[in-house]
Amino acid sequence: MPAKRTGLTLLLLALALGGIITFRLTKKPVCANSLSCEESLTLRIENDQVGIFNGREVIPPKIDLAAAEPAYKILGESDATGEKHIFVDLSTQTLTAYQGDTLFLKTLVSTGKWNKTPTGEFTIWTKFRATKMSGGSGNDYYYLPNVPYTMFFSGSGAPAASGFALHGTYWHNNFGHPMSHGCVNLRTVDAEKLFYWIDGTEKITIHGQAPG
Amino acid sequence: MVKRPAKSILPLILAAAVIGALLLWLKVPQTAPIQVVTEPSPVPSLVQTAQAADGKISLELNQKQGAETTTWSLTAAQPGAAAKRIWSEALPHDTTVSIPFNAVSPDNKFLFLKQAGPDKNRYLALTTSGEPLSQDSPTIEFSGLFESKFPDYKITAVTGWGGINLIVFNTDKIDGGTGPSFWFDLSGRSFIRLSNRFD
Repeated sequence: MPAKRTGLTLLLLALALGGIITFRLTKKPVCANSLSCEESLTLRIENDQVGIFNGREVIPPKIDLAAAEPAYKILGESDATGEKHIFVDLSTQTLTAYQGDTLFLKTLVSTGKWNKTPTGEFTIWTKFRATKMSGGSGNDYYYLPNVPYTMFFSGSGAPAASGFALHGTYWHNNFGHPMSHGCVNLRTVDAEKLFYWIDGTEKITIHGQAPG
Repeated sequence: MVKRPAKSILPLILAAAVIGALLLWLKVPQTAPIQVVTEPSPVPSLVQTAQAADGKISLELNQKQGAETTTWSLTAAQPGAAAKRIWSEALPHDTTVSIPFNAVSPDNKFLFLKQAGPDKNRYLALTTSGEPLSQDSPTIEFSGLFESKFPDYKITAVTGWGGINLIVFNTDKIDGGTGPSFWFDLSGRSFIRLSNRFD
């Protein structure tokens, strides 16, 4: 009798373990942009497209990859030394970027409202001058070509495939308040500065709790 | 040995020195006290600069003190074009004007200004080109429009633009408590109550 009971217990354990493994293998990570997802993780320039946000058409910025890079990128803007570190405080909706003890940028951002922005430690694994992001449904549907200065980050439970990024924003101007589907929205002027400042070595720390 | 009268002369020397210094001080011309003249400044002074989120419009807010009012003016400069005055208004001295961080619309066609008065704040929408918003109104004071349409709520903060033509603002209930967020749709001059609050 005890052997039979042990066997049954082992069988149940094996089934439970199998179920967990199957679930983990088949479950796709949450994608910041539910419709474009993997498609967003590439360079995409679509100058002839019209975007949609909040049920309204929005004209994306025209992007010319052949255009000259900003002077501060070519000349080098800073004598600062030390590690580069980007902090995003969800509670104040603020981004600060430091090299060593030198502040490079401090600005208001918009983080996740419809999906949460992940918290923890991250690194930027790739960046694109522009890409396309789309997702949501109904009134929340959005289609945004030419999202400028996109810097994808991963780490702390957010795999690269989940598509979380710091990027420029041309469809709203409500920084300082959560407005995104999980990404960190920056003003385009700030995203451009950050885009040319990062070199792949910087850490990103996202902390705090978003209001609302 | 003759005894030297050093101790008896010392008070006389000290007295002479004090009197001499006093006479000298009286002869030196005294600096006139600085008089603060509260005459109005004839030259506009720069109050604030700001730029659109994409950096393609630069704004400059100036003020000029008058006897009765302060005249505020706003200029906008776009790439390749000269700066143009797009708004000007004479307001009481106790009212100040500012350009909020999210003032310019995402398409750079419109902006809003905050006028902080002694009793309440007013918010003004206008075009970045200086063209009137419509034939009958160069600007729209949408906070007053909102109060007349929704007397149970008061605007607590205008946060920015939720999309093209959509100004986002938060409210409180007049009788206490937090109110909803609204959009002011500039294209239709209408208010849209939101289910989400933009804190």
